[in-house]
Amino acid sequence: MQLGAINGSMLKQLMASGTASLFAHKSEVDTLNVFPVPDGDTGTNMYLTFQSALREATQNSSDQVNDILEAAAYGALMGARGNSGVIVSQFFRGFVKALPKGLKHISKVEIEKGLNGASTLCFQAVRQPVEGTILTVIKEIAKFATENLSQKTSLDLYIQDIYQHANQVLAQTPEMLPVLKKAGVVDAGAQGLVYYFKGIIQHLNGEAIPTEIENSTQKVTSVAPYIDDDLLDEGEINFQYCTEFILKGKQLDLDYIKNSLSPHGDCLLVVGDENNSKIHLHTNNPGIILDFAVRLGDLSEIQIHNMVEQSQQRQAKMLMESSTNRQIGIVAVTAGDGLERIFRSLGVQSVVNGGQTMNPSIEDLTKAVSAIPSSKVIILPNNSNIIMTANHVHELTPKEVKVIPTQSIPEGLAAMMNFSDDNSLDVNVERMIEKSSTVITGEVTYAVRAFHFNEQPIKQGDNIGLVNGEIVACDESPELVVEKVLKSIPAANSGLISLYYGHEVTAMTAQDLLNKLEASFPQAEIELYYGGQPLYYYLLSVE
Amino acid sequence: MALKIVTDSTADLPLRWIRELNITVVPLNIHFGDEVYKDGVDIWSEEFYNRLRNEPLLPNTSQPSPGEFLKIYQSIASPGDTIIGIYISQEMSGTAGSAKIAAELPGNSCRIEIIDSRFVSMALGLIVIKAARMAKNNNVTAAEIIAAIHDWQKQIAIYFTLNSLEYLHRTGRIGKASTLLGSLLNIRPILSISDGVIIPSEKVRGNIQKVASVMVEKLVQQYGKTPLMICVLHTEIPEVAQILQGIAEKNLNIAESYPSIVGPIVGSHAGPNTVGIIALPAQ
Repeated sequence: MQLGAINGSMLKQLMASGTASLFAHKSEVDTLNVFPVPDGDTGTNMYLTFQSALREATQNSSDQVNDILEAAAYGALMGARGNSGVIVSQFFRGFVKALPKGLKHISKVEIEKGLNGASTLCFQAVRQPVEGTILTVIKEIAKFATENLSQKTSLDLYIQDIYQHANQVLAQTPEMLPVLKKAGVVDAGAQGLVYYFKGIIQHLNGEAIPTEIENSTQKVTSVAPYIDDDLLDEGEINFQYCTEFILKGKQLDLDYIKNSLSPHGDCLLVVGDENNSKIHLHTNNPGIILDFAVRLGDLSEIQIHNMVEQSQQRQAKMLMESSTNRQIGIVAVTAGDGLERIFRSLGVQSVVNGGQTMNPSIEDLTKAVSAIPSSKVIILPNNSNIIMTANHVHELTPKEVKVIPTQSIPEGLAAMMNFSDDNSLDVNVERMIEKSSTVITGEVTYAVRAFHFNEQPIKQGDNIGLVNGEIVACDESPELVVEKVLKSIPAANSGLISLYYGHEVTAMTAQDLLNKLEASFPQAEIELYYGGQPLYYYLLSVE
Repeated sequence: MALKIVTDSTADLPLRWIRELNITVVPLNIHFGDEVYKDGVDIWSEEFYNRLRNEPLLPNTSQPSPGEFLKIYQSIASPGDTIIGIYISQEMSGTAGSAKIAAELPGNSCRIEIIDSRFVSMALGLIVIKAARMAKNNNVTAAEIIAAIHDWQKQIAIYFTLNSLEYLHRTGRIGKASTLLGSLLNIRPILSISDGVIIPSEKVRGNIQKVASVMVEKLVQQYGKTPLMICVLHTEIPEVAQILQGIAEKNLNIAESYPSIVGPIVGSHAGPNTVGIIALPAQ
């Protein structure tokens, strides 16, 4: 069809069609939402804003396009929801502000002017404009409209070309904004705007707008992956397996499928139509889900991801990323997988395996220091026999190295409580030393040789307990020694007791001990962790 | 020629001060799925926390539209008046942006100043209270109030602790406190706000009483015996707030106390069991 100009009533129809198109896709746009904050509401917010614009425009009885666009701008302004909504409101306002007064028709010139006016105002509305968003699409189509204005194309072809260009820019948004690329999505706001334009094009082409996306099968496979899985990984995962597939059948009852599956997990999504539907669900038993679905039709594109595994990988990656951006790196000497994990979770980037009977060499420590990207490094020796070695590391590296003279694992952990990458190296050293000296360390191990303690003979292999390096107790079982050790520390009665059980202690034994201690030290707060350390049945601290 | 003070509902201002000091509060929106509520207009803390506890759906929030600001500007001011709008940090919300767009629209008959407080909740609230008090004095100009606000921004301190960083993380408001995520030890973070964003201030192991003492200790170090305006606020844990209030009263020179509760908008982002203390020199 050849379109000469758009008059007022046509303009209203185009706006209605754009809004309907966005409505049809709003849930999809919601799932794309990762920037600026992944709260999954961009589609809804934009739709509500466009709807408010449409309502005002429709109620306006003027035949002048300025009046109708002014009304739309006012409606958008009143109904603007969220950041994307505010940008939409500025789009309308900028568009109409750029037009001459008293217009009865919009032609190519006005579209070019309007888009450029919209672009200018939208950029002004955002405090820190970011490329790869709806702003980029608006800016680029405005530029495109100017560059192609003199082409001898008809109005509808001109609009078509602008729409095509908008699609191209949209597809490039992940290349411009890393957070989008990471999540594997295009920008939600940009996509919302393109869907609005799509509705306009469909109207110009005389096509019907689908009223609900759930009836549009070709869209089903392009539903974005559930972004929350990828970005919000710190929460507890109640259902471990993300299960997704396409179900093809005849006369599928989507409500029946929804109701049948919902008890088996969460984040359930069933979209599509009676022949073709996409199912997504987090569950602990993908087998049951597939077994149920296979009775209803053919399955394809089955994907099952273990989200716990993914979450661990992401956390490891996050720690890596955060460590490369750090000013100050930290090396800690420790033994045992549990303690290593605890140290890393507190911000230690490099762990050197060592302790009482295996003191790492200067070379081992220097290597660990060199492996950290930061030029300033703090070492936590966590053992009195390793402090001296650590003090020599600075001679072998151009990096600035400081040693916190921690004599035990609990002192090292306490020191980490006061570490902050926002503080200078000197402030950190001062605060970490201060904090590490406030904990009392207890150790429960066995005697490596026979000796006398308080005139009592101790045989090799007997269980002994130490407080800050001095023997204070011995008894038949490590657990009894723990209790004696704690009783020798007055602060244990009301303080915080942390207990790290070693490689040779079972979780059950440790739990039993915890229960017993909670009864004997009712005023204290007691926390139990798996340390996994060799030689020491228990490490403990009181603070 | 009057001076009008406007803020937004994230200030968590108790109703008493809103009325007594004639402060206009623009509500932000809360979304439970497709349902939209205006904070403090058609949803209040009690109902909100009830829903937060009992519904699986987590709420979203959104800034007021520029149009809502425009309506309010038009309803409270006459030609010649000056409106001073003091809002939540722009790093946390687009509210000040909406206020600014509205201020630039034709149809405003008065002068409108927009200030990004760089804070939220009662840190914003205490600044607003002070500004509103100042505005009651007929001899004070808008420029003087704005200059004073800039001073208060430097003097104010806020410390708070959350049960879980998950809520802040979910809605992208965690700021620099993201470094505290994923710790395997049971750590209570003490957070603060600096440069408009949330920052980690201290990591404490131990019970809430210990955490409360550390927060007050930080204020003692900062202010000594200076007379202070204090606000202790919480989400649904009055007993903990009372402990904190008690420790604060013992150790600080409190001239004025403004206890409050965390409203629905801030509560959506902070999550349950939040408690905090804010201090600003009274003079």
